[in-house]
Amino acid sequence: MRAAKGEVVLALFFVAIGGLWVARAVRMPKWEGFAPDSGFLPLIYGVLLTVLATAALIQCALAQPSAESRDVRKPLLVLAALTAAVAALPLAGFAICVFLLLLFLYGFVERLPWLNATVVSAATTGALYLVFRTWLGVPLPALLP
Amino acid sequence: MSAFNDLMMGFAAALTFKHLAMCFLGVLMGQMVGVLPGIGPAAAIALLLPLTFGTDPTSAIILFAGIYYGSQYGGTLTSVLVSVPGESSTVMTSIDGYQMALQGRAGPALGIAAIGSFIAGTLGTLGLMLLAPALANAALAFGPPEYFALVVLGLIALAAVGSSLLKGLVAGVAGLLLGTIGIDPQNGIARFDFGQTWLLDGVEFIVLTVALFGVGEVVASCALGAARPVADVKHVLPTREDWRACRMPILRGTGIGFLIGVLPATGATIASFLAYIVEKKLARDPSRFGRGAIEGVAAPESANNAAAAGAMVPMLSLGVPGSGTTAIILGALIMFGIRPGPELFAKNAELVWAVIASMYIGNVILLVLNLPLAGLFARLLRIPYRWLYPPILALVDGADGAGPGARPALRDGDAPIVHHLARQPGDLRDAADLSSFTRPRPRCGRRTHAPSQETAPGMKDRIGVDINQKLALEPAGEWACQHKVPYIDLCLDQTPELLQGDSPRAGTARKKLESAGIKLGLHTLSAVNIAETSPFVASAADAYLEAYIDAAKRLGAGWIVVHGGYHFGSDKRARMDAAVARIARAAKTAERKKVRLLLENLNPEPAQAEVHYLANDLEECKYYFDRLDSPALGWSFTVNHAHIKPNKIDAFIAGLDMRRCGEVRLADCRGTHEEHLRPGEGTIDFPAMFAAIEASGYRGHYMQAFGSLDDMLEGRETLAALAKKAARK
Repeated sequence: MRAAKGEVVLALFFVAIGGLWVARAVRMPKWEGFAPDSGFLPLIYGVLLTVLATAALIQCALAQPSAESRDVRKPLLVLAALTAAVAALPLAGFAICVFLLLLFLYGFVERLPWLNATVVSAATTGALYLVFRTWLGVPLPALLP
Repeated sequence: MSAFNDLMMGFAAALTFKHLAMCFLGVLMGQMVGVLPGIGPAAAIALLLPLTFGTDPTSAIILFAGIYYGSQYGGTLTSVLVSVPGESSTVMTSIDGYQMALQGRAGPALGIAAIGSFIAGTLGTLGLMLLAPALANAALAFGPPEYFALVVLGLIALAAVGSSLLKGLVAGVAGLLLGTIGIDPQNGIARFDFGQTWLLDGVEFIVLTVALFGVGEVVASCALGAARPVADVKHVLPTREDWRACRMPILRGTGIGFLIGVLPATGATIASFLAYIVEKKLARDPSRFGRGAIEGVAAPESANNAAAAGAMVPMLSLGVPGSGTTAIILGALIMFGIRPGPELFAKNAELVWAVIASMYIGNVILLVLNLPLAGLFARLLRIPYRWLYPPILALVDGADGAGPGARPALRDGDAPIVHHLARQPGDLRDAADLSSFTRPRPRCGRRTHAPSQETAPGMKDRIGVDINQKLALEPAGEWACQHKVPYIDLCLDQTPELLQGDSPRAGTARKKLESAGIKLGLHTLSAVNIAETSPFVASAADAYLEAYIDAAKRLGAGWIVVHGGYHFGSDKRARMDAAVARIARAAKTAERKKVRLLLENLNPEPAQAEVHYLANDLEECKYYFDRLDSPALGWSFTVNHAHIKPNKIDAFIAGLDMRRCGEVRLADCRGTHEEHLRPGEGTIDFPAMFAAIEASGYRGHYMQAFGSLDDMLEGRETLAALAKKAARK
């Protein structure tokens, strides 16, 4: 079995989260009278997650390192652009955010000609707005800020 | 015969223009997501979830189911034409399908796949129709231990959906862990909010679904290269020899697929593997497999479509997901305020049967789409992925902003089947069971989780004060905080500013109440005749209710007590119907705005009186509640009204569904006419009343409505002592 570096990182992340839950849950009341209290289930879940994620980590450590190497720059760039667009949504509104996101992805990430990228981005933004806002009545964020 | 009648009812609903359009849209999108790489049915449904806010749940579920089984058809195209399975369930199809394409027989491969899928989908739906109601009926006898076992089964099934059980368990426990973020619904303690107020309501289910299934899949696939060369599609109709060779594989594939699909955590992929292996074992010349045997296409394609129908059996009858996609559909049901599980067939029969009927219709549409139009869909494969994923992400961006605040959050027990456990008497969830409809959680004073007798001393913390119009909003909040009163009711009629728009007072007061942990309810005037039929006045009654709903939203009020109107004798039925229609409209608005309405049982007037309140006896209350099944509508049980002769408190508790009760209103009374006396001044046996209400499973709050504020402060002590007395008996 082969394990990718990402799986090790993810397993470590879950171990840390499990530990955090345990650390916080032990300070909460765990039992009241005959019934579980606020800290009971988080403590159990925290312990379970820590144990299971540690097992997954050991499984990764025992496995051969994966020879497969993937360029993660593009996915990370896409994720960063999406995060920025979501963050800017309440400030800039739907139209501007979506248009800029599309323009960035088509023009910068995918290296399409800027004219094509601009036209496609504008048309897609308009189409999304018309279909979801006008036709389906979905409460999208304001067209403009 | 009953199933046939139910199916006919389902067809009547599914054949309406709106539902037909949704079915067509669903299967078309399913076909497309099956064809296109980088987005599967789970991601597509996750992305569409936020966009279905405000739509009719039946339409939305028809759409989602269409995407699910439609994708099974669509995945075949990529498997056959470019040897890249669009779905994991079409991996086996690609083995012989692609070989057939290389031999110039892509058309017959796609044709037999479409016909096999149609037969399997139709027979699978028939199996679903016969098996699911029977299973649901059996599950209605479940008690708490069985539900607990079901919860465990569901969680393990979800964990086992992926390729690694260990990783699945890690993901499952991580999900449970996320469910503990926010205010504990049992006792109001904030957990894992890390000082962020936006985390107090928990993590929103849709945000999580879109991020994990939508964004995750797209980001992982965005590095895909250009489109591959695609084989031409000609002569899709199979020859007589092809058909003869495929008849039995299609039937066997259907049987295997359906049975595998019914088992939780197996799904279409395993079904297609098994069907392929069985055909290879049964073949006279197994060496043909892998070299373009048409049975190697027919069997797995039939199996994956039958499995998609089979996976709906545990989903609809038990609330147990058969696959990742059905888990999201279950989440969608919850989002719409519908309880998945055994009661679904009984309480939402129209929805379930409309979805089942739509599956028959959808399979016919898919057959049409896949025989003559297979070549057209094949052209989609020529579109490079770099053109496709940016609009998908734009949709995510829009979905993030769609209806903020209107989305149910992931909380303890939000795993679909966990809801059933929460439904058991003794649990605290209210009728709607969405976090936004959950009952208030007091945070000041002593904690309040108090299942019945053992913890009756905690009853004081479940007793609030109906301030009504005695104080304005801000002083009422201060008074409640000063006296550690966790629940208050207010009537806003004397402060129209709060009913007329976005007053800055609302936001400030809301923050103060929330930070003090005081739960606010609103109380409309009982004198406003909700049963009004006169022009102008009738629309004013609608506007009045809507203003209260908007105000509740702004103030963060957990409930609004509303009334059923009144009549003059001869016009009773007409006015009751007008009231039901008006409350139904208001409840729809309340559902959309995530506000809860509580219909109060009013007091009977003397027989000779000209005006009679609605609804004042059990029969009238039932008339309303039988016709109003909105999850946003609950019951405000006023005990002293139920005590006036000829009514009886016990009859109300036994006759109405206490799970719909969101508030119990307390005052004493002598049983002869309307009065709000201090406890002990009338003839109500409070210990017996507490015992009966708590025994019914009610764990919500009580609201006093008598005398002065000081009387009610004293009343909290008195009533808590009486409850304690009941507990000792």
